[in-house]
Amino acid sequence: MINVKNLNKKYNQKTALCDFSFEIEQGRVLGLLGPNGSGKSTLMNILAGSLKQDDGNIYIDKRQIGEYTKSIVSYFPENNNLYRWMKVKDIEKFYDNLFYDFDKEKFILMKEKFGLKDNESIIDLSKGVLQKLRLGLVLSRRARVFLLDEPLGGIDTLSREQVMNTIFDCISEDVTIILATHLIDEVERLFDKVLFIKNGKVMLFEDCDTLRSENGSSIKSIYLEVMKND
Amino acid sequence: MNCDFDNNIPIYIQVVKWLENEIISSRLSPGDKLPSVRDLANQFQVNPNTIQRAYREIEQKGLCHTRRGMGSFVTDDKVKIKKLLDEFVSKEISDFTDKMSKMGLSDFDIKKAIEQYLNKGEIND
Repeated sequence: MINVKNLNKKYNQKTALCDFSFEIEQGRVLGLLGPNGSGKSTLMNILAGSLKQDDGNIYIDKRQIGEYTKSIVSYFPENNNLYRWMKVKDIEKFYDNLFYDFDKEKFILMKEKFGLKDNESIIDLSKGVLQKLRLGLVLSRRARVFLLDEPLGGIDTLSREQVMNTIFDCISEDVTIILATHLIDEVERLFDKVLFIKNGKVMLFEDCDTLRSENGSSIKSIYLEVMKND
Repeated sequence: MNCDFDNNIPIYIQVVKWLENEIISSRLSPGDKLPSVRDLANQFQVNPNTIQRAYREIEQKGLCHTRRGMGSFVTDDKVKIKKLLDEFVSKEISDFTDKMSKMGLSDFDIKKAIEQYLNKGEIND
């Protein structure tokens, strides 16, 4: 479903992604794990079509990044991308107009679940509630690919399970998910595969249960081990 | 059941174990329909592909079979289930006796200790 080949990206002289390749089938959940500044968000941005690579090929559903891929990819960037002056109801309308696959009914349920009120202004929302609103919007699209960059960032421990459940409900054989997170132990059961990224390079790309059986340890311990070396 | 999975062990293997235990203990009887992949995934909060893999595994062991469009069912083959139970029992006993031997108990001591325990305990028949 997603095929990335020899991707390179530099910001001025600094390498963000270096000869980066991986492939993920439809219906899979990929955990993208790496320290700050490792290139996770750059990769997400390129896959979402909001940033251009220097060279290398990317295919999503066998098509190069463009209008079509953008129409099937729902992207949750790490930082707020909503206009602060908008109210919840405005942003709902905005999404409804912008994306033909926006499921309004689903979003209404999300609003209820997350306790979001139509007349609340985005500027007044706490960080956690804003995260929930953004995630609600992104997950309410009937998209085929979800790119979730730190969806649990800023979400307190009490709400985390609720947010996790919401993400969990989106997993299906028709949907491919890439999820970047620092909270490895809390999310690792959702992953089919993990990709460890460091300094813009793929350090490891493997099936989770294969890793657990070969190493006899959790993805988190393996991550700490792999990242410590080199 | 609220399953406390251990992230250090392949999740699908833990699901296989759980399913086998359900079958051994007759919480899932011969011919019973297994929970759907989705339901079990929801219950355990693990990736549905992991559950699918566990189902494939127990199907390969002949413990269940899939009917197209209807779901998976526990095998009717009671011999197979009996064999699974025997395997379970001998595994548990061998783990237990290994531990006891390591503590320096002889086979005789172990037998005596078990007898004493069973006679004193409520499982007395």
